[in-house]
Amino acid sequence: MIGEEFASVLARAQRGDEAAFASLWLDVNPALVKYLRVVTHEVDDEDVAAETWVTVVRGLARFRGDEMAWRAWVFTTARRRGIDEGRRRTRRRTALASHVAELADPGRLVPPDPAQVVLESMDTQAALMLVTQLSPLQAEVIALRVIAGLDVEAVARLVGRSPGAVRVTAHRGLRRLAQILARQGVTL
Amino acid sequence: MANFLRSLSVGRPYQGDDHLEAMLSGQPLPENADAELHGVNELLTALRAAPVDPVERSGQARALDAYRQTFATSDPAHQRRRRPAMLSTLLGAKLGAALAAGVVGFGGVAVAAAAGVLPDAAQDFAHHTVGVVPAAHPDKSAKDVKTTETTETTETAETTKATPVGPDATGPAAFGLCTAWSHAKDSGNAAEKSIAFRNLATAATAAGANDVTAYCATVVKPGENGTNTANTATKPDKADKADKADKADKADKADKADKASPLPGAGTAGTSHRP
Repeated sequence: MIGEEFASVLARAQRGDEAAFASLWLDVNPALVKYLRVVTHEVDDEDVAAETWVTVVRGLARFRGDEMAWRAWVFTTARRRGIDEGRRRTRRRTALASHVAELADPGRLVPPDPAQVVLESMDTQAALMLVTQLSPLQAEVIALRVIAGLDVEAVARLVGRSPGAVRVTAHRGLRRLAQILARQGVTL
Repeated sequence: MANFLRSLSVGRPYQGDDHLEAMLSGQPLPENADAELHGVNELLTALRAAPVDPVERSGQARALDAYRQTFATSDPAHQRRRRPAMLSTLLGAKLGAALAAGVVGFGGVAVAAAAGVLPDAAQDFAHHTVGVVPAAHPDKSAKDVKTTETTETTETAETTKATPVGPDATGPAAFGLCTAWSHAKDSGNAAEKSIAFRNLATAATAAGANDVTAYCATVVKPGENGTNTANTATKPDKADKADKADKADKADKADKADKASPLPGAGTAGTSHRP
């Protein structure tokens, strides 16, 4: 998050200041790519992210709002851009399977067991893999809250649920993650 | 763990819900929270960590390209980056033609020899000129660049056409040489190592001037003394005298800014703000 500087950075980016736009991009894009990785499992997450930015740039001059609104707008754009509910479900398993197979490659140092990966080094990729074991809605809500940094209300608008439902979904997701870790015998 | 996991199966509100909210919001987890929550919290921390990913950097290039395309006409930073490249090319072409004409005019010196010195001289000139112009006119639009382009192209055409009749030291080639020399001189950049500048000095001596500065003071900008009227047929309609006067004015301002600039290293700004 950019914080207090956000309003001025946004204003400069809207006036054509490339460095200001680069700051906005740098602040949000890593989260955007991770979010897309959680919800789409597409190999070309970066393509979807890039397409998202093209759309964002087109509407940038007209955008009005604070940083939370800005982030919500970018992630909403990403969601519309690259995510189709049906497509997402069908791709989930195959993508996850290929990801695990990739990790099982003897040429890699990373062991195939996600929980084991977490145990040895809780890196971002391993954490993302664990999250993808949740239900699609749980994974997306947690990604939006934790990775995108959106509050409950913003997430609720984005996924089209009530704030209460979002809260419950996130909590269930976290409990499920704890369960997965416990089942794997991982103590952290 | 027992309480925590039991709440999973029962599905009713768990007393650690506040802790869950804190974790989701990125707030620190209290020490007395369940052990499992600390494990999950570590996972969430890893989720927030931003990996350094080369692919994401290529994504930045794509995003910036999109941004430039959308904001190209109103982006001052972008224009500062683009103008030098365009001006370098144009000024280099103009200076090249001027130097070639000058060398032929001085006689006996092969054009090929002159070609060997062009990159240095042209680059010096371009760097010093473009290093100042954007600073002096930070709000110039792309339209102004186009005007300059038209004028420069016309100048080049004039100079090139004049070559066959062997313009002497008072012709358009001398003006170009003098302009280049004055910038090279300001930077203290060994201008004397250039054959073209040595030729300029030779011409100055032959003209009876004390030095190149004195000689160049007598050189008139091409097209302003009526000697090039034969070339008017090649001029685009836009390249009228108003353009020329405007250009001369700009060159003058640029020259002054070069000398008076409070910015350290202003003389090399042409290279320093390139990525």
